[in-house]
Amino acid sequence: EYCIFVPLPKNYIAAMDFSEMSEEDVTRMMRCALDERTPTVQSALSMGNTTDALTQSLKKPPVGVSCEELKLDSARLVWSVTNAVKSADIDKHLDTLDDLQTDLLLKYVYKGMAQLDGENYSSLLAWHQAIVARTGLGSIVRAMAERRNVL
Amino acid sequence: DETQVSSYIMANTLKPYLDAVRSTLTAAMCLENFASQQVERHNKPEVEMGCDPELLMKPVVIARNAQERVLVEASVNSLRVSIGIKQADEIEVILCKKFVRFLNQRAENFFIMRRTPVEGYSISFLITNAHTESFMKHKLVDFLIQFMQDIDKEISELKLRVNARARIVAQSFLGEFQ
Repeated sequence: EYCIFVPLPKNYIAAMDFSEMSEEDVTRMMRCALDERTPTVQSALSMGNTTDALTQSLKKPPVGVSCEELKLDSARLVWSVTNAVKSADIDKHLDTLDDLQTDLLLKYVYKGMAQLDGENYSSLLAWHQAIVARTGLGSIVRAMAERRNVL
Repeated sequence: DETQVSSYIMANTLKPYLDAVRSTLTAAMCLENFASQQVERHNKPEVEMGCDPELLMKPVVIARNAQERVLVEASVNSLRVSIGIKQADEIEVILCKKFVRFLNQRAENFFIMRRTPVEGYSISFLITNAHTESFMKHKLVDFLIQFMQDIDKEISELKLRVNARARIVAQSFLGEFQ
């Protein structure tokens, strides 16, 4: 049987190893990270700097945590940015993101569409179209298949 | 004016919605044969069994609004697609239920149709590796997209016919009293 090991970049999500930490510690760490980036994102949004807000909101995603509320709060932060962006500017924003961030954004888009009380499905669909046009189907497969996921 | 704007927005989201469904289905329809890990010599669609987490992918939703949505649940050897159909008023709810029941009773003719819809959705399809081996994947996806468009048309057509019949009946009945 062949095993091909590709060296993962240092900040790759799967490379983050939380096996030594307990579940509550990981949740608390992720919650702290979320509380840290919420004011940064909100101030960037209020200044109209949506590109910065987007990159900030995609930092330190709550992967490998089972706390639904934390994942939802983190997602709501991202959705507050994606809703603020006009559909004509979506491509410009995607230019500023790297591959991992684009993948993560697609996962948040899917999470957004799963909500029953959202109103901004048209904006999420526009983001979905733009992201898949760039990354192809691989991004969708990763959104569905990755075990430690924000979904 | 507000309804005009909202109907324009709705018309605008149809193509991105169907494109998103198409790309998600194409990505999820990657199925291979996988014998059951629970029972010897058995081969079951893992998405229906739902017992081994390593064989299941995360379910994903594509939504156009709160009612019109598609749930895609994939696994190693099977894919379950559940469609939520637009039901704008009481009569469309009844028509949709009856129409879907009609289709579900003839599920063998559709091969990939599931006899009962998944909780919260109007109709479901189960596609297994056997289907992807005998049918062409892109044709299966085409069928699902076409189905989503046709069923909306069918239900509005049925509603128009019901209203037309009701009008004729009411006229002829109430005409007696004139």
